[in-house]
Amino acid sequence: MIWTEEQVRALVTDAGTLKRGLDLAMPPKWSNLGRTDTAAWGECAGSGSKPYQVGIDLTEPAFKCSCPSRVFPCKHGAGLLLLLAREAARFTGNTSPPWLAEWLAKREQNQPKKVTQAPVAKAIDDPSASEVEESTVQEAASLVSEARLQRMQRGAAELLIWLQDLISAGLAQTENQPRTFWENQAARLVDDQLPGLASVLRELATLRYAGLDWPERLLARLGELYLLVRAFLRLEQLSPELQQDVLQLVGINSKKEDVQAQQPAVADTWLVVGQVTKEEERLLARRTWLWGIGTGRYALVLEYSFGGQAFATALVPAGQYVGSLAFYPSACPLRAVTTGAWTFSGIRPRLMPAGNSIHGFLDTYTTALSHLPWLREWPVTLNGVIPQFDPKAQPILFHPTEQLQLPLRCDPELAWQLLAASGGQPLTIFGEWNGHAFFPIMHWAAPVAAPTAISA
Amino acid sequence: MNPHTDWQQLLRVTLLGTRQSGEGVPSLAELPTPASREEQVLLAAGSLALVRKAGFKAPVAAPSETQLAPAETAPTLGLKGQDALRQLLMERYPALLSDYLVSVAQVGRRVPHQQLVSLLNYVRTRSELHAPAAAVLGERGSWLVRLNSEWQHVLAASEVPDSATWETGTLSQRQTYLQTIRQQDPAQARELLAVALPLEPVKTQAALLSTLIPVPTLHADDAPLLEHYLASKSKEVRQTVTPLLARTPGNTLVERLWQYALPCLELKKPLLGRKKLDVTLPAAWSPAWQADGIEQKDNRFTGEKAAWLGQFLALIPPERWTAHWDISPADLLALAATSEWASLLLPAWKYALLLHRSAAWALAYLGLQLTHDNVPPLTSFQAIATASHTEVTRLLLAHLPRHPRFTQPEARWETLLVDLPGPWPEALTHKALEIIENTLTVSNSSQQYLLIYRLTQLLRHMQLTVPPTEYAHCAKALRNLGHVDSSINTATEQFLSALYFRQQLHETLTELPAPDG
Repeated sequence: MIWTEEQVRALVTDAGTLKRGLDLAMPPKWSNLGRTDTAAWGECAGSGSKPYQVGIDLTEPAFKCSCPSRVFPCKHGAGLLLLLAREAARFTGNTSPPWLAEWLAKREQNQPKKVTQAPVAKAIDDPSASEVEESTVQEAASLVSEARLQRMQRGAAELLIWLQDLISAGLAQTENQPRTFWENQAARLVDDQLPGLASVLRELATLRYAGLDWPERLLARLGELYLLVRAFLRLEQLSPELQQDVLQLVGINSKKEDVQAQQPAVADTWLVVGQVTKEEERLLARRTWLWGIGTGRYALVLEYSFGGQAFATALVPAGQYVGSLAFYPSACPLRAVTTGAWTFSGIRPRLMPAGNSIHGFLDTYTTALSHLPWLREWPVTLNGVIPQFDPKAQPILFHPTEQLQLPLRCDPELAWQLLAASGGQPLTIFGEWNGHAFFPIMHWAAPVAAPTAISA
Repeated sequence: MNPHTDWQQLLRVTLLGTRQSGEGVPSLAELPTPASREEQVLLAAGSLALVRKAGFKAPVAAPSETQLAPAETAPTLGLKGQDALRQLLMERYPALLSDYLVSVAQVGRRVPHQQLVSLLNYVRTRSELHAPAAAVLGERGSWLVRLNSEWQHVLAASEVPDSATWETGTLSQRQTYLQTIRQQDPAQARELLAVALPLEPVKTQAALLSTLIPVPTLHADDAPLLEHYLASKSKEVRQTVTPLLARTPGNTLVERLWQYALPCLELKKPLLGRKKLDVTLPAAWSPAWQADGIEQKDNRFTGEKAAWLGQFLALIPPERWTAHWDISPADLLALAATSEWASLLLPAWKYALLLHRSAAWALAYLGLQLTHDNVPPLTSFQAIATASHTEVTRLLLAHLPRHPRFTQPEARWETLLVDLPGPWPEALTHKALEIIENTLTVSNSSQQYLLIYRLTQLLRHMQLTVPPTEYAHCAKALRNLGHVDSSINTATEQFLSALYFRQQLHETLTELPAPDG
């Protein structure tokens, strides 16, 4: 199993821990290194007289360390994993020491419990969920209480009037509006228990800095928001799945435990085909895209980490996992959560999802939109595309057989990375389509015959 | 319905606002018509936005002339090498990057495709890394650079010089061109200079002439051109040319200077008693001197007349004096140090020994500097550029006390030690460890913090100079000391990490290559 620093980085969310881990990832600091197929261990010299005992359960991976740090993994765990990546040959021991065996046994015992029990709430399930936590607890599995629904619908109706005022005054006006113009209305929506709509407004406030075409984008988003509010106001006329989507969008999150308990488990071997981690005020939000090798199905695992804590599910790019996912109820189910046993089965850098042509995926996308008009990101793997810059120096993907091109939405550095990987040859690229542009996340180059001999 | 024109119309209405805009709202036949104009706008906006997404048509593109990158001819770095390079590009041990790239190129390896962009972005603004980076880009990297104008100057340094740059390039490009030509064909370079210089402003003249400094040797044929510019009206040009001419074989300048200087110095050798160096300053300014590159004012020296003599001495090869009086450089420098004109003689001879790269004088001067106060010091870098690294190190070791340690004020050897470039021989590394130990164990608590700071400096310098093979020895010695005094523990660990990292860097050069991507 080959671990790279990039994959270790996916597990170690705290930048400081990663840096200190890098400092520790050198053999002289370690003694009694050893590993089996499922675990690795070692002792790391610290400032005290006794070395720290550090272990990794490679099946998840999970970390154990005798140091007093409360960050997981701690720098020793990160260091040991990096060392395993760099110098696997030094892990000569093959009998787990007693302290490790004890910990592994304990984990083994707890495993079945985890299936029924929610994972430890180390990482917050969802930031918007926490805002409405109290009320959602009472509502349990089903929809929303009548009283709350009324309050929400009153808030939604108010938003409609606010939107009309905005249109009446003109979008040109909004360019000079202070942040509070959006913020005040967003705050009212939170009071009316519509945090989902509130975060849409907060995002709209940032659009005017996001390029020259902001009025166009703002208008499209306002229109979508309007349709969403209107749909919410006549919720009972929608199909049950779409009701769930609309509720989710206005800010009522299904609880992870409910999804795990009520939704059918989809068992497969899942490949992590992409991971995007974004910093949002004080927390890290991570979108992980999985692709089921048997089912050919995409799934999005959305997780949040607060204050450098590890994400609840250990997922690394190109990692392969055997286990089941439960999909959130939706007219176009993508978001999912792991359910039951979830086992890491190695890094598969050369394995890629089945690809699509540009025509093919646009058709599927249109169908998906007809199920869920508010679909934001659509996962797609494109086959045989060549990254290029168009005459206006904008990055595009060119499909030579279809003779079509797609605009890319990414920073220039990423576009150049793609060019470097392609060298003018077609690539397979996984990414997200938002209806206007493609955001590349992971790519695979066709294996190139490159000289591998070392010249003396 | 026409999604495009309808959308543009809608955009116009909404930018202005329904209150101001008289334009109609595009209606969508299939949809109900809401009561208010504002709701019509919002409904149309939402619907059209959806239509535009669902009906997105990928633009048809003509099969462009896709240029393919040529196949690679060299193997990549291995996995550990890639890992190490990533750390270097993250600014861990930035001082090691340049050397590492050079060694990667020497073993015929290249940077893998996925690291090209970060390497190019890193070196883009660091011109000293351009040439080392250009040598490890491989075919893919060179292909990539040609597509991005921001990176193009990375390759410029290593490309075959183009004669057009001599005509139209920037000053630094012309300097580089001239240096390259001079290495290949000195006569042609002389020719280019002779033709171009008269047409240039004096600043450019000085800058172009200064490109002759780093070239290994000046040739007798360079003398006529330099002689010509010795008579320049510009002080800057004269000052560039004079030291060059003084180094040119077969020049007549040195002989004239010698005649000016000879009456000023006298070595008295009495039958009894000590030798003595007498100095007589020139009595009056001679206009002829200016034609020989001597300036009426030179603020490197204090005193008007002293500055004239100082310039003579700084230009004359110092061996002339030792040969003339049949005396060793060490003895002559010792006499200079005790002379009442020490503050003139020592700096002047320091310039002279550096200009003429006199190893014997440099060592003698270092010896003086290690035993006397108030000697304007040679830096370690100057010393090893003039004498050999081995000789300088041997001299330094010989002058270290039996139990060396840092003291307050600094010992004379300290500055020489803390900037002596690597690789250090074993003996010096061991002495340095001894210095750290002695400094920590001989306690003088009032100044401890100053000494700790200097020890930290020393350890930081040792990160780059101690050979990685000394790792085990250093780790043992320093970790033991950690129990005595923990205040240098961080510096110690950083030093050991760096040493270990350098060892790893070395090993990556023979590692199996990893595939790209």
